[in-house]
Amino acid sequence: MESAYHEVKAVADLANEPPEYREAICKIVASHAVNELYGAQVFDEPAIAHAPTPYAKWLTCRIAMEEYHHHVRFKGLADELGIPPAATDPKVKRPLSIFGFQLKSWPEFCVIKMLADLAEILQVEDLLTCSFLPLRAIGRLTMPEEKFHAQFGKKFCEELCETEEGRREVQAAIDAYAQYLPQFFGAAGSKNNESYRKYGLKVRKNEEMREDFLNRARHVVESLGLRFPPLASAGG
Amino acid sequence: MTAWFGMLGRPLSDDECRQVREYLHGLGIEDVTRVEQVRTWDDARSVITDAAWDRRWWDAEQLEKQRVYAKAVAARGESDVLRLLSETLERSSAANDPADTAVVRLDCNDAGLFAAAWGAANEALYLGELAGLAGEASAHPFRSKQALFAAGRWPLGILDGRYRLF
Repeated sequence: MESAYHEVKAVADLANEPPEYREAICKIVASHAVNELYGAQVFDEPAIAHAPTPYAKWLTCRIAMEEYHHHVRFKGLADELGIPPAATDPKVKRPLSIFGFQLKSWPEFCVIKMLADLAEILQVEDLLTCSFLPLRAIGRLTMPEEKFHAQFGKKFCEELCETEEGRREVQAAIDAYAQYLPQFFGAAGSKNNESYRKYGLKVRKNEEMREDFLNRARHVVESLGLRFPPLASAGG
Repeated sequence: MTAWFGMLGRPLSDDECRQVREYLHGLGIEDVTRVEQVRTWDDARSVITDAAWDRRWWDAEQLEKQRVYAKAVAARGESDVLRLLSETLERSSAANDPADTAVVRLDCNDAGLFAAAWGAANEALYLGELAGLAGEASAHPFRSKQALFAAGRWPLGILDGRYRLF
């Protein structure tokens, strides 16, 4: 589905758009730049040490590099937009609460890839049809890699589930991490989201995305013969 | 210049074996002197998924990576180092076609194994470039490993006291 708002082809064309449009673009770009970098720092890079074999380590290296690369793409656009460096620096700008989870093991990382990257796929799906073409272009480059990351997580979870101990570890990681996921999509009735939809930068409301995600996440988890836990908060 | 992964499965030369020993020496691993050829993707998979793999080369690389990263960041700044990492990925992506040829030639139909091969190549290329950015000599082990990849090989690691080179 294409955006209802007209297409804006380049950063220079923002001069012809309302200030709220630029502001909305800057918020989205800065958020992606911060969270791609922070995610790579707190999950992907530390996970290399947890990976049990060279095979798993090299796949994890590849994922970490791709996540850093996503940051560099968004940061490049942020620089073009004139966003101050502090706004894309996770040391200054607070990353999403989804990264508050303390990674301690390989099964936890596999679950994070399986579920958090599925959430990321939903976010990038909106970028693919957004009205601002530079952002759409980044979405198109990023999407295949996000899909690979989520598949990686699921495949390694499947392998771990081949033993009873691994199965217990994966279920425990799902139980712990799932609690962090609903907040990933933002508050229900969000003003930012309303602005994003008005300008064709997002398609759906936060609560609609969250519901879609939780259905997809539940489906993935149940396909492993595991259960998706009841959530303390629906995030909205 | 040989295409990345273009020499997989081919007999090893004396020069390649010497390069492996220099790489191990650079990491402080002196007791592994035998270099064994890995001939097929299936064999490569067995080597890199073996739970009994010798971790010393990996641990030594990670320690050295921390040292070299800190040196490079001190010299060039963190954003330059991150940009280098990004360029490394772009360059290796651009080199995917020759690898596809090698995959067809040796019948690798395992997408995960292929992705691991690229993960290993990206990591080696990045570490090699990082060593350059930090001003390390051309004999640095990261540069030696990068040279093996550039020569079309995939260095797999140590198993049962022998270094396995695909």
